[in-house]
Amino acid sequence: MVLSRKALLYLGIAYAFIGCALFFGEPYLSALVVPIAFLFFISHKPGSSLRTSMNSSRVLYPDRSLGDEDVEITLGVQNNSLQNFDNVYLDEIIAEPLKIKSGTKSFTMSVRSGETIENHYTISAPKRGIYNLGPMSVSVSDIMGFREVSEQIGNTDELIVLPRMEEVGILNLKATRLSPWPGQIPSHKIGSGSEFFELSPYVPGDELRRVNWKASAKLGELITNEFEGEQATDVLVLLDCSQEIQPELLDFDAVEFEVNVTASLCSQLIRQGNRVGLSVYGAVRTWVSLGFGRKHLLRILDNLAIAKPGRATIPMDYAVQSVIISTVPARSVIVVVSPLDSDDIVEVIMDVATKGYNVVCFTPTIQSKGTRGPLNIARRVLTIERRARMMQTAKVATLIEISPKVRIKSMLRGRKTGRPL
Amino acid sequence: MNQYRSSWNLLQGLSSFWLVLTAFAIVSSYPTWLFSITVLGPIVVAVFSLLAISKGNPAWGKASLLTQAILFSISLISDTLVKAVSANLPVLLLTFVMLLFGVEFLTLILSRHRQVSNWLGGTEFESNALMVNKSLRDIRQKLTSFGIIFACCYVLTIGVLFLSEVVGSFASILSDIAVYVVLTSVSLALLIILKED
Repeated sequence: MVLSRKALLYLGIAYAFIGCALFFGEPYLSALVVPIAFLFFISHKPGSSLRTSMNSSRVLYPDRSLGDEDVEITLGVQNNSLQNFDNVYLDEIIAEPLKIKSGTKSFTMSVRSGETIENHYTISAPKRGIYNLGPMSVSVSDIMGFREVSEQIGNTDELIVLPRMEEVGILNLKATRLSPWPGQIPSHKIGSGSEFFELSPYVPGDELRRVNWKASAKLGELITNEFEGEQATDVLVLLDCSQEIQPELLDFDAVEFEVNVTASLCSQLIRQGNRVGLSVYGAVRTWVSLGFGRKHLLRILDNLAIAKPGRATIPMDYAVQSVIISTVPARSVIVVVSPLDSDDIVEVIMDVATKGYNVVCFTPTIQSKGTRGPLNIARRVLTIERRARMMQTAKVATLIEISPKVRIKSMLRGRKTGRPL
Repeated sequence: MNQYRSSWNLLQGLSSFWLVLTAFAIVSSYPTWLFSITVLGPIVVAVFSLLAISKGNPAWGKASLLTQAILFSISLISDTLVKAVSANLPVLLLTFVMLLFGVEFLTLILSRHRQVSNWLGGTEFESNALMVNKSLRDIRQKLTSFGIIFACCYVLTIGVLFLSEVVGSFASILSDIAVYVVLTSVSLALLIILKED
């Protein structure tokens, strides 16, 4: 419990009146102290512990944002004590980059005993990441605002803003190892796919609609059409955020773009029935083991939400290979998303390829601008170095250049139809 | 929404009116040689108050209150210099209490300005209507409470002065001492309150 600045100011004024009265020898001047004294007499203690007397709740909608959407927040504050609070100043503590679009996160209100108040506000579409909301800073003062109690109440909630995803279309993967569960990769075996594979004699139990009547008439016995089975595979998506390129050399945010591409690829690969895992190498090093389904995709997206550019403390080859060896079966597919800005990642790709994994590498196009000066020279040197790395990579992996200005779907469609990656 | 808007506009208008009225009440007792301040003072207060209330900016509010405080100090000093404090004390007290009420009124309006104005501006949730309604109700209730409190302040002080006059009429030598006794008691009471914290 402390006196507020207002109370101290009023006290100062009161004593100034007394001082003036004594200095000028004018006792009636000091009569002006009486109103101030009266205000102090009627002010009372607003309460002892706000944590026990006030409860707060927070509802985020959505609590997981897919980017490009505003987040609505509903704050609830309840007064559980038997005391009425005349002046309650509430201020929600939110992470710095978040911007309020509408409504207000701080307000003054009176809260009666047992009363609950609700406030709504919106945060404008935040960037990818995990943000903390709360706790709430509460200041309760008496009606005159002379005595104040300030505390923080409530919990901290996390707002997860996932990377933006785009439709990438069907990804025709080339896999030497197929999983037993159905997917979209031709297995070169008889199965339940849609592509014709071969003819075979009718066996009791075969569906009549599969009987090839022309072939049956020619051969004099019942012949059925067999179709090629389509199966899934295991895919590990490796995101390289080590970011050695100076951001000034690029006209786009390379890390954001790569994260979005990774999210889009993971989403599509899971939709195609594959078991997908993730490994992120950057300032934050995370990995998600192989798995299926929507929940698994959310797990991957949560890990992508915290991806940050920078170098991890352990070397890239050790970090990546330890994840690959422990989680991905041999001859599976490794999808690498990297700017190919260091020799380390090229070494990792070559090493993985020699171990029998099918490697597909997505790398963003870095276009040199028409400007002159040292920045342009640096950009040209970078482009030449990258070209060399890309040539090395292309020897052992399928290399796909992607541009933030063109949709991935269009870029993949530009490749020869049906040619696997 | 129109109902809230008119209620809010009325409260804002009242607070501006009150601040200007207080400024006029303060300068009304100015001597004639302070004519320029008598004219300019309320105009400056009116401009600052309107800026504070229309923009919801506390800095303009502080400027308005500071101007009023300066006007009041001038009034007090001019009365002290001509030894007219005792004669003008009821007016001085009234303006002082009006000034204190103005501080509370302006604080109430400015503390709710963003919340209410944004909502009335149509950029907020419909569901915040309850909060806005509650805010407006709070302001009205608190204004009533402050009205009663400051009226009591005035009456009480006049009562104290009357008592000191009564005591003074019995023993004229105690007239000044009586006021000092009251003041010393008040100061001690303030110290006791502070110690309690």
